[in-house]
Amino acid sequence: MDAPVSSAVAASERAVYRDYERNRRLQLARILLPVLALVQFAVVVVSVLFLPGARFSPMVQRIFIFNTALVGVDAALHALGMRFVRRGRVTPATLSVIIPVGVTVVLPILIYDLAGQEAFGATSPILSITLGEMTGTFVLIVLAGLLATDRRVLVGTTLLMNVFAVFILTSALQSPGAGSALREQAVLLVSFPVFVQWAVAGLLFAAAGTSLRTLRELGDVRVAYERARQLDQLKDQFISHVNHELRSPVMALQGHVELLLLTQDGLTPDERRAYLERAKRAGDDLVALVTSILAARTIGQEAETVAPEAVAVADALTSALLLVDPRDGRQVERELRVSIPAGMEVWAEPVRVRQILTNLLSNAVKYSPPGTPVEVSARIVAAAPDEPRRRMLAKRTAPQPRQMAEIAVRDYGAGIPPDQAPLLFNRFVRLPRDLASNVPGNGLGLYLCRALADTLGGSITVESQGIVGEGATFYLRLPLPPQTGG
Amino acid sequence: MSTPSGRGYTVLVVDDNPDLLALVGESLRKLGRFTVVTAQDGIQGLQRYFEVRPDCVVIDVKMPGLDGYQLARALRGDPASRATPLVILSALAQERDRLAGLLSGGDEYLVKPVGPLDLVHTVTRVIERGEEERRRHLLTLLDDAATDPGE
Repeated sequence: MDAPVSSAVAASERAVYRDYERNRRLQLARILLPVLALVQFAVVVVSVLFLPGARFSPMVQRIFIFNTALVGVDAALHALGMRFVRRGRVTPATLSVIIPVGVTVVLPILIYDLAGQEAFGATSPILSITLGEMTGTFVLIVLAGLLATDRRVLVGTTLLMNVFAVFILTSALQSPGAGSALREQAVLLVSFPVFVQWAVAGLLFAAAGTSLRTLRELGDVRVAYERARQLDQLKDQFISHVNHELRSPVMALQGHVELLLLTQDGLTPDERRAYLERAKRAGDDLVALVTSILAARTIGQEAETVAPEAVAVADALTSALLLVDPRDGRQVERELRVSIPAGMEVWAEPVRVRQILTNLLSNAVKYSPPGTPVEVSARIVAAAPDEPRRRMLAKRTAPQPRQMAEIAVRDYGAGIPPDQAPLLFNRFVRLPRDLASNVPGNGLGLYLCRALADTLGGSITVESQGIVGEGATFYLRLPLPPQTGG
Repeated sequence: MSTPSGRGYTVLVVDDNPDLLALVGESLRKLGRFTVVTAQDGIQGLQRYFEVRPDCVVIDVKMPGLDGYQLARALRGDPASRATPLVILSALAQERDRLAGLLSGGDEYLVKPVGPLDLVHTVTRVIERGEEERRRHLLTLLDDAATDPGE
């Protein structure tokens, strides 16, 4: 039963990270988009002011105007991205940060290189633009590191920027404006930006690792809080439930005694006996309720005191049947179908096995219509690899047994909705359906079964589709005696 | 404590718990001299009501099929049974439960455990209360239930 619970926790943890990541990216986009839009817009303004004074060849001038317009479009795209942020659409918002920056960084210089190669002259702005673009590549790497959820995006972007830097620097150094002094230091000039790009990427990796750890801690805290809150709710529910469960037997006990005192002279011996019997029954109910509450508190502390012995499954079942309260089955005879291999034994404490079986059988008759059969079967199964590690028994039966006994108790009642099944083995939990019904219960029976099975080195699970009439099957697994346990 | 006399009055008790049904029935019979008729669930309660036309109905809240509130509403909704006093007996002790009980038509809302004498006195009181007094009393109870904090 542990798997669904732990996967539910993992799912909620993942949701915590996802939410946090999403909010972080959205917040970044909210800050970056207006800043980037302003920067790009400023570039456009400076270019427009600079153009009339510049002495470019007509080809370079055309490219300059085109690139200025391109940067203007990018500024507009950033501004448009702010709408996505307002609508909380994180992916389009992130893309409207990265794509226009990428276009601004990569396209203008490529156009100079590819379209304006022949137009290069001493007055070409290629060298100054190339150096500006180098800064742009760092910005792009930083943005990829901050905004992408996948680290491969950062590696990919850095690699692309490496290629881009090498390409444009090589081109720029070949342009007439570059001069021979620069060309002589070409290797240093080209390799240096590549190293710095990887240094920036490395810093971002480190930062992402740290924030992931923080995120995990944050998730742990949130999950722990959620668990504590659920437990608190369960306790509240339990208190009001026990309050309710106590009142009827208290009234029956107190009422019959009081009635006896008030009317004893006028009662026949039979009437007196009936009052006393009902009072005693109510007292027994109270004792059972109090005992199970106390048992639920102390069960975990008793694990170390288990003294296992070979217990015949058929005998344990027979003694458990005697302990099932006939009122649980509304005093109607049931057909019990038993299929237990002759001589089958488990390695356990007889009292605890009997207690588990009594609880399972009581539940089977309580939660299924009168007249429907109850089935008990047993077989030997391979121990699951994640079978709980033996506690006391490990010392006596080590190595861990490869086989276990599995006792199945099946009813044909309303079944258990699969989504509610994992919760059933917790303390004080009853199905919402049963809380609303008049079937008595204190939400402790299955918790005790699981705790007892744990102390015996076994486990208990349930299978049900939640379909009325198909019922539920509870599987109790217990270790086999040492010589047969493998 | 003097025992009230319910001689001549018939009380219908509806409860699915046989021991409590017996207790309430015996208390009313032995201590109040009422004639007692019993039913084990809401549907049976409704049938018994129209068979015997009791002077008062004592209803447990949690029952299979038709629960106590539903039974009370059914009796209040029918002109033939509207005037019969209803005593609701419940293990639900919160104010909102009391309010729900009174709103569904109970004249009194008793929280378990209730002693036999208290029960008999309450039943006698609701039967002997006049129509006007009954209305006034109910308004007071509703007022209390709506303003009292918690249990």
